[in-house]
Amino acid sequence: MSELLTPRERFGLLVIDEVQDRVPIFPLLTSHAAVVTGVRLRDYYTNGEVLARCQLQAREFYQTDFISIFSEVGIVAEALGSEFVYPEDDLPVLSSPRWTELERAVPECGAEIKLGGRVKVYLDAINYAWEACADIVPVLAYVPAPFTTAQQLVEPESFLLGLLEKPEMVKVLLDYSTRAVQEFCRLLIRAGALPIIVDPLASGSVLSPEQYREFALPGEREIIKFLHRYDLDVVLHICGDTSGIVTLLPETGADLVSVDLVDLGMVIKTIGQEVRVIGNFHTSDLWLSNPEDIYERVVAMVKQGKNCPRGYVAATGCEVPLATPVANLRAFVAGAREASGYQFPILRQRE
Amino acid sequence: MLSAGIDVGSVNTKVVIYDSERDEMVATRVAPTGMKPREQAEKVFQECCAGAGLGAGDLGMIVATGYARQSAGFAHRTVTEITATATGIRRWHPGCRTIIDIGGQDSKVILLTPAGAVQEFVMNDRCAAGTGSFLEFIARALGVPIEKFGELSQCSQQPVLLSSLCVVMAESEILSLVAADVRQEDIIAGLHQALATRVVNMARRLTVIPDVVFTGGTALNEGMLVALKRALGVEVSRAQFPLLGAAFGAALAGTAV
Amino acid sequence: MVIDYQDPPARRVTFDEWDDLFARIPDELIEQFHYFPPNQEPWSKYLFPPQTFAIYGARHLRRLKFDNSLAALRLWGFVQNEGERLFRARQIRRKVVAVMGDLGPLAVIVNSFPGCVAFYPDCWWWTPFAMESKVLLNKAEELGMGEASCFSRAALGAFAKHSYFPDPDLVIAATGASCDDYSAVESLVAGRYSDVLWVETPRRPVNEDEADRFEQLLVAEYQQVLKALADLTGTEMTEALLSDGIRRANRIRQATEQLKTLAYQDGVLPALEMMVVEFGCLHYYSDLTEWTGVVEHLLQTAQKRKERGERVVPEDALRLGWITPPADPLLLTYVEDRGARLVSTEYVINQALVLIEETLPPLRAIARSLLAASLIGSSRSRLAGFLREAVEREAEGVVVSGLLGGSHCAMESRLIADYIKSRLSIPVLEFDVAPPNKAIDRQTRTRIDAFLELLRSRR
Repeated sequence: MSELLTPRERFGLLVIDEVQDRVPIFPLLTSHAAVVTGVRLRDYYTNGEVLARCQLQAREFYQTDFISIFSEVGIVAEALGSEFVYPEDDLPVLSSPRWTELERAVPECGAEIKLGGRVKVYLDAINYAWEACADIVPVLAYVPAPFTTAQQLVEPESFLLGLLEKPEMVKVLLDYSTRAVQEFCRLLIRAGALPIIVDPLASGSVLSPEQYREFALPGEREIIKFLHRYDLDVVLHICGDTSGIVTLLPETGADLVSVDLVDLGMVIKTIGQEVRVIGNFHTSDLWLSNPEDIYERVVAMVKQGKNCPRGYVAATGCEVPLATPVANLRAFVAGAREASGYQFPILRQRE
Repeated sequence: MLSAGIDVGSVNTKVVIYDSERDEMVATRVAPTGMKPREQAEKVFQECCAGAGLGAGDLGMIVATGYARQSAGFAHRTVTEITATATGIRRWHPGCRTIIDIGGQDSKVILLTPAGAVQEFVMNDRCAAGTGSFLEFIARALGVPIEKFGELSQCSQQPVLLSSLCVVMAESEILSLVAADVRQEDIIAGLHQALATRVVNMARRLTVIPDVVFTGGTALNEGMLVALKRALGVEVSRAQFPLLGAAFGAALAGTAV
Repeated sequence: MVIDYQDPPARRVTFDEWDDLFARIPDELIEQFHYFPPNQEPWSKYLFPPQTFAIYGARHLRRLKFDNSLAALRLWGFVQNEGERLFRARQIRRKVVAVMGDLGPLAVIVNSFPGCVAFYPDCWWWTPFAMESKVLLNKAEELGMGEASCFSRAALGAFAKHSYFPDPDLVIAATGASCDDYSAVESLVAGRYSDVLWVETPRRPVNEDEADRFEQLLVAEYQQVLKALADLTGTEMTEALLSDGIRRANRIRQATEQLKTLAYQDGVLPALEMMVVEFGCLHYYSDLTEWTGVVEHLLQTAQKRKERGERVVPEDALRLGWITPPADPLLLTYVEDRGARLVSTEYVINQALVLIEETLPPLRAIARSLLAASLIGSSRSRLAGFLREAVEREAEGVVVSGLLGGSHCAMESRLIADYIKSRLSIPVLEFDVAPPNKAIDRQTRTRIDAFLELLRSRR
């Protein structure tokens, strides 16, 4: 049976602190959309119309609440000159960063930002999806944060050593990366997408809380500030274990925080008064477990999540793995649906 | 000087190449528009030029008209089919004050000033009732070629009275009439009458002034001409080239610049 | 605080051009404007560009052209977040009161009560056009109002969805000499979603005796409204509060009237923005105080432009009158793009521009303002003000855009067209607005283009 609210209406209520008919459902359904629609991955991430069509079909198929325009977190680094290879049946892989060493990058970081690469693919995809369904479904586009982008502009070893030995140089690079990411956001906004900031390389699995505060958080905050100029409700997604930095996340200014390998109850208790929480079904379980177990665990997760004071979105902790069995993701959506309902509309007493 | 008018209509694309010095159409071409008006407009235009042995440099102004006029990106300017039809028909019929144009998707009545400019016009509502495509749809349902409609309707002794001009409802009504062995001629004549009444009711929103000229693809149908005369109660003449009025007018507009 | 921002020379700009302009707007300006003043909550900022609202589904904005002033940006931001504003009103414990089928007076009464916010569900009829969406219309159809009724049925869909505005604390519905289609919306809302306080609207009186009787009837009806609002808010209405409410409404009406003259006579504001302002006189986009600021800001901008000799539409553009709101805002952008400008309008809301007498007892003054409303009379009385302006500003043609099923439009268009032709001897174009879509349908485009060609040929 069709539901009372469209995903657009549901999300609209969430972001203005109003109760919805049910929790929005958002498995981070990205390139799995290509797999489930039978499209080669290389076609998916090099052709905007193909990407959008896969997303539209996959959303229909699984009945989720968002469109996600994304392939991998290298998009801005590539747009600035890092090189990627495009495997036929896998995601793009960084083959050669723009600079071999931090020292070579610094003198060039004052340059004007010109974005090339596959940015047009993203914009085409957003345009297509927006024209097709933006009245009904929010169109999200992933934006790799400045830290994640910077790390793909320079050979990883030089960058990581720089964090310890040449922090000032890293910050010059981060400024450049921040400007580029901001320009990328501007293009996405014009095309009609709500940017969702991802900073996987700033995960607690990589950075200490102090390093996160020093190197990653300022860029995230800067980009979020730019998006707030437009009054956009900003999603920040950080993969991996973020236990150590959970309390810092609201400092970024994000309106919705998407978490991965952390205790959901702890996150809600710690920051659930300040931000809406998105999360956090374990993606390897989604991939390798069976539908019955997934259903049961998602029900438990959503029952816990829906009590988040500022609101909750039932999601996976990270991207849906490419090879996730269809039945598993369907079980995820069904379980989330089962447990997601709120009393809606709140009955008002007739006087 | 040579100018070209191209009328990208919903059913046909029409091209006229006009020589203003000799005041004559030196080449014309009509071909179905199909589902790709952009490509077809270019193609029909090129074929018309090639047929007349003309190259791109031989033409002055190219003016596009018709519902898909914006598709003819190679044209220098566009003009609506209302203005173009008025210009074209008036040149052929200098005494004309009222034009009835029944095309594929639209029907229009245009009232002209004594000097020949558009004074007022009315168009049909959005649905196909009252247009040429209505007749074509019913022709397919009856299994009778549309070209035969004129001739067959002349043999009618008792035209049927149709209760609706809605394409869908009319189809079902006509199939019931066929099943009841009503003569084809009477059904077709009834269709013409119903369509004529619809168009005349639209015309009466204006003040119909003679001479009245009937143009558009449907004007080739003798039965429609007769039905229109009867419904309007005044003499109606068929345009000199019913398919080419708008394209000719567009070509004339090209000489005025 | 002095904020350094100068408007660029006046012109209409595209969606993308507005984003370029927005990049120049200082952060301090964005911080400056809040709805429900003196509230300063972060959520109440509203100076945001069309891009923001397009991301949240208002797709039509991408096809429109906008005025490039800061005041216009403020106008769009304010208007576009009305739905959110109403939810926030509820969150800060204001009473949200829906006034339906109202010709202007009910909003004046409701807004006189401290802590009450009047809104106009009827205006959600723009949503399907702004979003290029059938969602609300389909919902209305599911509830029994299909294509045979006018686009205002979207308001029924919005009630059913509970997500476009909060469920009102009180619904007041004007009935009687109001729109029939809208009466159907009101009945369905009353049957399904809310108790409704009905207010009878008489037709326009034809003599003194009727005028007195109708006035008394209306005053009695309004007293019921006062009682319901007093029960809701716990505040007894006083004459002083009502008089203040009237003065505040008149301030807006006066500013709007001045702006209308500047827009339509001097061409300093596009037709689209002017239409949005005209509609604001009905219900102030749910925030009378801030709306006053928005309109007065536009007025200052318009006056400055006039002083500097700046225009947004050329003086030699074809001069058009427009009757019945075009429903699809793109039509106004289109006619201006094609070299025309509006000089006189009758959007079924002109009665909300008439000043309410401030010397009479307040309820009687409000009743009289309604009884003078052009819309409750014949087509001819509806057109009186329009014709005066059309003659003064030398309109060359008139467009009557009907709304299929709309009882104030569908059957009236022909009468209006004939009457105008007989009075002004200028061409009239009549057509029904097509349902929401991404572009203007080809037939409407041809009609407008041909009409403008005709007008041009008459010069």
